Amino acid sequence: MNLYERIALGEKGEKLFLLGNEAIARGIIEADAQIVTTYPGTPSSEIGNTLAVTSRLYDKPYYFEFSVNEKVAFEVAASAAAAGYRSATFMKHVGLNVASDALMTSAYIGVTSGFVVITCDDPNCWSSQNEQDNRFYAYLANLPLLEPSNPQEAKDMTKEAFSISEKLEVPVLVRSTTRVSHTRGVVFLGGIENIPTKKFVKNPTRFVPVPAVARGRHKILLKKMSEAKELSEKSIFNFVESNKENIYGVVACGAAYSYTLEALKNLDVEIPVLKLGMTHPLPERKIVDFLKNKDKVVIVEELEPILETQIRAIAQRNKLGTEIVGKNEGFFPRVSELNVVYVLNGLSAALNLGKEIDLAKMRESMEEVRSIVPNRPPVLCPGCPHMGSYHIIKRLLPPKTIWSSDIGCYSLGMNEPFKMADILYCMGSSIGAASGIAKTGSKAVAFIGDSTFWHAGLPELVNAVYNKHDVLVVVLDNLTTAMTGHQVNPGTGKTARGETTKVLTPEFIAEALGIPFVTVDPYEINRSIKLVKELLKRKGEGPALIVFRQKCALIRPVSKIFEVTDKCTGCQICINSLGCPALTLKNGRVFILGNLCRGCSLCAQVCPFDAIKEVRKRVKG
Amino acid sequence: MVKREIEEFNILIAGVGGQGNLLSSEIIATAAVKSGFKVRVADVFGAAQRGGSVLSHIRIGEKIFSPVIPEQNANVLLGFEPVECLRAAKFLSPTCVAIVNLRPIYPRDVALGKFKYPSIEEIINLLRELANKVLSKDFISVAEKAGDPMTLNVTMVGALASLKTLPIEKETLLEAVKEVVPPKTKEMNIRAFKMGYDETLKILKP
Repeated sequence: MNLYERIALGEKGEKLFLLGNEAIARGIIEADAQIVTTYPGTPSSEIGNTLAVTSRLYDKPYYFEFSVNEKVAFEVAASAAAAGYRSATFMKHVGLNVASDALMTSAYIGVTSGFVVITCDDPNCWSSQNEQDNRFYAYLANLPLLEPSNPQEAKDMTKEAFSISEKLEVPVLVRSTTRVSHTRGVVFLGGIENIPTKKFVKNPTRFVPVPAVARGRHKILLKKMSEAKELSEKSIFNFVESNKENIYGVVACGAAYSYTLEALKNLDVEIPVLKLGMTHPLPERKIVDFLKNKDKVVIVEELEPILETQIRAIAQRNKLGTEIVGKNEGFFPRVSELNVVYVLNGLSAALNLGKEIDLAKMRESMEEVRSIVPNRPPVLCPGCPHMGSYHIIKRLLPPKTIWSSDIGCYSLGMNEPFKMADILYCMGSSIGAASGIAKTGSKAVAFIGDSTFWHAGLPELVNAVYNKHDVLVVVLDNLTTAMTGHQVNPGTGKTARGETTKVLTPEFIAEALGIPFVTVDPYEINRSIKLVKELLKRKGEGPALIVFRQKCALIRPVSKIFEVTDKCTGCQICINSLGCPALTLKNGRVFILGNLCRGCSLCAQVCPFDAIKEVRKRVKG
Repeated sequence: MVKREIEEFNILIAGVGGQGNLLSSEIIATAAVKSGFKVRVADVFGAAQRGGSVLSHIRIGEKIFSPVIPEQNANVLLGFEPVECLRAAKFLSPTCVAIVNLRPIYPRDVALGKFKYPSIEEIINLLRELANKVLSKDFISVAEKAGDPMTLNVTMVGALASLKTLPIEKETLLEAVKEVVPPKTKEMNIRAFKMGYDETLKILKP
């Protein structure tokens, strides 16, 4: 059996070595969820990649879809749970912003079968535009929240979240972070449940939150959350590690718990740790039990001081004199990820242990090394069609054009040699932002990928047409959702489970909206320039659309590669026009790294000396 | 499987996205699990599909909790690319053994002529100051001899297998290679593993 088969079919007690995200997928399978949805986004993507494969391994599979965005994904899953099917949806942290409108009200109207929402946060913005702390959503929407620390807990908590949801009839949030989702560890499997499905029972006075209904449902939600508090008091995920009498204590959650255990080991001190796994609502009695008889308790958590603020309030409410310290006192940073050294130093300082590691000195000793190491920012891949698209547009529009970018590999257009990203908010924002810029009198171009176009670009384009915004919309269609690992999308003609479906194109939309458009191949520079020039000549107001269509270089087979001949003068126009990683310098001339070349021919097309030639078919991809 | 206990052994893999580092991390971790150890792995990478720095932290032992190796605690550095080894320098313990592939991949600023790539001598000398031992070779050429430069990742796992201090047996690593690599490339990867192993032994005992 391969790993996917073992994730899908593995029996209770079996031991697998799993990525946190694979463990979450197994948790969803163990809970017998029937309707599962997502929009891919790092660090959550591997959950969907796993479930897309495992859903094909059964005779009677659960339903899985890559929805066009997180809001739709949320609604498909939430309503199925309202209708009596266990359901799950998952997304990266900023994806929950997109789904948040539905989330807030789903807390009121609730579900009849278990519904779990998994949010994968990204402290340190490893692959995101911000590092927001989505635990706040549990407070904002008033919903139960579980926070795993490792792959085993990720599976166990996901499964348990379904029971809690079913018991309380509200959605339950599970919050992972990059360091949990992208950690591999041993996971002991549990059994796969067999949960009967129910039928939708019409009940508009519950499921249709007109004001009169909503007011009542808000009260019901508060009552459910006081029941949730009792579940939190008894939860096995809230426990005390090493309960030796001590005037000091530590409270930790999520990845910070692992760092805390290792820091305490390295500090060689035995201090009791209250590990909180169900962090909303908090188990107040359990926390009070832990705090009393302690002089000082340190709170260790990543990003925002949420537990810290809550526990300080609990101490005050219960008239405890215990000193609560953490980020407020500056012992831990409020930005980025924590690690063992940060936590060790914070604990040592907070508890006056005098065992801090001199990080400044450590960094100083690395100064010489650091000064000679060139940066290695992520780059567009060799042969990436976006290089052609950027090059062509750059040649046709004035340099003072404001470039409005979007979420995708092509955000890297901000770097050399293109420098073609000037503003970016979130998925789909390119068209809206270009519209605003255009209203200020500047020429504005929006770059948007195919998956992003379907995700949130559509209403923005409709707005631009309706309100006559003079923007040029450039769809970079590489026929896949590339950055998150090549998932299908409405332009690919395939569903998540491999079924054939209608192929949708941005051209359909342009035609329906009655706006001028042109489709070009970014690998054909001269032809594209000619066609785009024609389009740019158009008179009239409102948006125009260009579709650059060429398959992502990573999934396009390589049939030929290119080499530099003696004609090369070393002018470096190819490097400076495209920045392709396969182009490098050797003895004053350009050299193509044969193992990287994808045979796109863009460099050969931009070479003014005809010095780059197709050489041979490559056997291996 | 017999459960085995060691306190702590940390392997850090440093490379560039697209070099196949994640696959070697999976091979080594699989072998460590097969050996009966408690194992935790963190793959640290950004948004891009290719081209950025990638680190894999493989931690073996009873006394580890964090998936990420604390600074100055790596016992072995498996360096797929020379400057990536320097970028990972803060993780090296003074007893660290560094196995370094000498074939550079130039970052964009170097390719554009905006930043100088340090000389290989400079890189190795700095690593010698930070680590206990540095074993370096153009492992790409070894991988090429095995059949494809893309087998660099498995060649490097072979190189790792030659270390006496490694708590994992060579046979267990090879078993993991066979299990983890795509079936079509199995023969070539077994060859790459063996060549990586032999070539590194030659550096150790010329």
